[in-house]
Amino acid sequence: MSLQLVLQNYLASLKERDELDALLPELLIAMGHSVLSRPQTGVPQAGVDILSSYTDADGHEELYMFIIKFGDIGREDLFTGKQAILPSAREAYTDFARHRLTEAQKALPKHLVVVSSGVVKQEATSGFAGLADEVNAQPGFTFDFWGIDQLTPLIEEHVFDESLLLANGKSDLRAALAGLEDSQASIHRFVRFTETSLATPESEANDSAPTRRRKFLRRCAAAAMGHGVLVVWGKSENNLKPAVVAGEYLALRMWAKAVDLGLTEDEEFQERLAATLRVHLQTLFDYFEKVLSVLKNQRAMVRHRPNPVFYADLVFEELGRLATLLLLIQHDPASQDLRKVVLDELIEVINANSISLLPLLDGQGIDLALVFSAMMGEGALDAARGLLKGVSIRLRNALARNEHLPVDTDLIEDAIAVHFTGDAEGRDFFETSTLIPMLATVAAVLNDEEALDFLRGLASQLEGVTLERWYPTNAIERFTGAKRNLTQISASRVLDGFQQDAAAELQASLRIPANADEPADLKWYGKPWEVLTAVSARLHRHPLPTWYVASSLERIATSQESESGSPAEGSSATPQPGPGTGESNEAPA
Amino acid sequence: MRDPELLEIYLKLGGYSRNAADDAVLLTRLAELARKMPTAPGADHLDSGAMDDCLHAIAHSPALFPIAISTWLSSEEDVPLGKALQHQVSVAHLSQTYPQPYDLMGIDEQQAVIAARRLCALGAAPAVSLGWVLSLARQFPQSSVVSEALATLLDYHVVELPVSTRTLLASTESAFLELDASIATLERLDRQDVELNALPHLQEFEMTADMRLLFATLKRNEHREIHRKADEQSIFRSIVRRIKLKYGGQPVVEVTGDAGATEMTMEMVSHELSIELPLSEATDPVLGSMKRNRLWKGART
Repeated sequence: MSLQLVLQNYLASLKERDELDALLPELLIAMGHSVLSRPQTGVPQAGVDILSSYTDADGHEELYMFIIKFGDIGREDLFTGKQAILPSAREAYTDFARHRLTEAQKALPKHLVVVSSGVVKQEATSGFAGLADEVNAQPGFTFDFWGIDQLTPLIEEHVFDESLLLANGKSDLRAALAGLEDSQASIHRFVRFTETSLATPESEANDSAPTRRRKFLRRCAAAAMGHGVLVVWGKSENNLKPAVVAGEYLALRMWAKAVDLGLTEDEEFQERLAATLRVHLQTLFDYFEKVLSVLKNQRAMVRHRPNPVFYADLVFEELGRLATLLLLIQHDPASQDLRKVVLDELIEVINANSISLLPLLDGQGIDLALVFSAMMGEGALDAARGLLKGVSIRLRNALARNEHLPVDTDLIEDAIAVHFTGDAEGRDFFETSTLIPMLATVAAVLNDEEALDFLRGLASQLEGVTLERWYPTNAIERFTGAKRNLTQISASRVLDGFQQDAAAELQASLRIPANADEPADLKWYGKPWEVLTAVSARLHRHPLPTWYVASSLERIATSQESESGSPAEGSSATPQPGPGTGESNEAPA
Repeated sequence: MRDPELLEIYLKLGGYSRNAADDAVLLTRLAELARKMPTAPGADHLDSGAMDDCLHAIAHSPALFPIAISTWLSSEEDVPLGKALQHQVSVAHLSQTYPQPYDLMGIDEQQAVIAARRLCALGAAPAVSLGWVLSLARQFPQSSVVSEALATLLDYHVVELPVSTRTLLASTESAFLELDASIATLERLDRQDVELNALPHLQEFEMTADMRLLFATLKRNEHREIHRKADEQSIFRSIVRRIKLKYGGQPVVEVTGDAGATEMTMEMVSHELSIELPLSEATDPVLGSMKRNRLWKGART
């Protein structure tokens, strides 16, 4: 598969003019241009969408004026309307050239370039040729057209630049696209692509800080373009899963590298990270639009996963993903309506899959923690309490019967032995629990004394079980791509039961052990990027830090600034703890 | 060795010259004998080997079965015997594609409802449990107790056994095609199917390679276990020769006799039976057992 073909497909599938607007400056920077003005909506630009200058190796400077046209160019696009190309071009070589350029710029040779993500249609060729002649006849002006066939080689040459040693990366990207049928394989190759794209080769070790910064930003652009391509191919190949996982990895990897390089405060970097997260969010929305109906139908789920262990694996994975989606948009006050929709969907998925209340693996508690955090951030406190109660009751029943306890190794094979074949004894894989301490933290944050009391009541059945509460070191934000073991960034406290009341439990949850680091030491602390903690928990399967869970309630205030009324009204439904959870579950005699 | 009394009961119950007036007495006597028998080790139903013949006769008798099952399942001390009978009748109707109709005339309404709940709770063959439930609706159309239970019981079939229930209700051999409850339930299942069939198959939700491997192993083990058990219990094992072929679909078997070797071409016939497990077995087995437990206990209230 040639990369140009891939890129053509990518360009052809761009849906919004905005996407092309964002892509072009990216390409120009990669080509060595200085971008002097960018597209702005609603601002009269006298025909020119982007202005850039390029100085070649001999020091000759030229000016480029770009007129962007989304999609194929037909006759109407040339002549009709205010936004048509011909009037824009005329405005550019008259009004713009005369009034918006400095004297020095006016003297430079000027290229007027029409950029399109498509081709010139047959019906417009003669008009187009006339336009070219007209522009070329202006003194100092040259007319150019960059359509899809011109853009793709430019992108391959400049964005996936050989000088950045991206050759290996390109083959990994191609492999990720070719292997889309197998999500895991595709994700694996995309991770390798991201690693080669973002790694600093040894040859660049002695670069100056500004050079390193410039190269890093170009590498980010290449990786982001790769991500965009994966999203587009994922859509056409009908498998969006690699793209949604890849988006998480890329965002985390970019941040990790920025921390290494000390660039987390760099505006341009932040803009690139925000753009990557925007693409990721859009992909998540597309993903859930596609899968939600299946996720809410048990029979359809069983068709995909015909075994309770595999089925539960899917339910929790998707719950975690849906919760991170909600957490990602909680930082945007403008997303109020959307958040309500996502919250309602989250609750519906929980209600449609009773297994949500009974994690089969201890690690599925991570997804539950994300759900709790997302619900609390939305002010859906009743829903969170209902879920907490349901999970606690089913846990109590499992403890009472020594059956179906969450497997602490998080291995599917062990889960099969415990939950399906019954080959393992009840507590063979229940020696450690991070789930129960997490529930206690959530109860404390919710100030739910009753729930905490309930959990304390389980103590007698937890003899010999290590209650582990996890705390990260500040290496957590550099974990992605660091090839380190999770244990190397973890400090855990072994709990000796729970505190007497919610306030004390909250305090105990938030007390950082000596060998872990304070969250305030993290670069993303207190910033919107803090949500990457949740993304990291979901992707790398580490528990959600207690301080992140506790910060959920603070998000209600920031995310709903413009709202009045009780935040709890945001949710229209509360999870039902599942039928029969209040009863003992004896099998029929 | 056969118990002479059990043999006598069996002959009376299964005989052509069965006297209906004696049925109640015989069934009562059978229950008395059963109470003295041990339950099978590790199981909760009666180790009924000695009375299998009697239970077999009852399970196949349209007149005896409703009386026996409704009496035994609703009396706590006879529950083990009821379960053993349920097993017999389920085996008898396992592959049946229409709901088995029962004549519930003369059966106590309360007991019939309890039996219906408990047949479901015990996971009786759908042809039996659904047949009983629909017979209940047909026999007691005015009863509020029945109509209340009916909603729960049909719901159980629709949610837990949608495929079997749909096949049974839609069967042209069904005796309940005109029954409102049957029509409404079938419509509900049809709607569910339309909805289900409209949903896409998602590559995103495919099992991972590890899962597929593990799943294949589990299936293989399950299959082998079924065959092992079947072999153990098969009476054919002692009287026929078993041939296992690796490739051949049309075997020719060499038989060496006095007249020399001859070859016999054999026709192969496939035999398979698929059983639908309750949906909750694949989604939330714990909740499934709670549901059945509630069905069982609900009978007391």
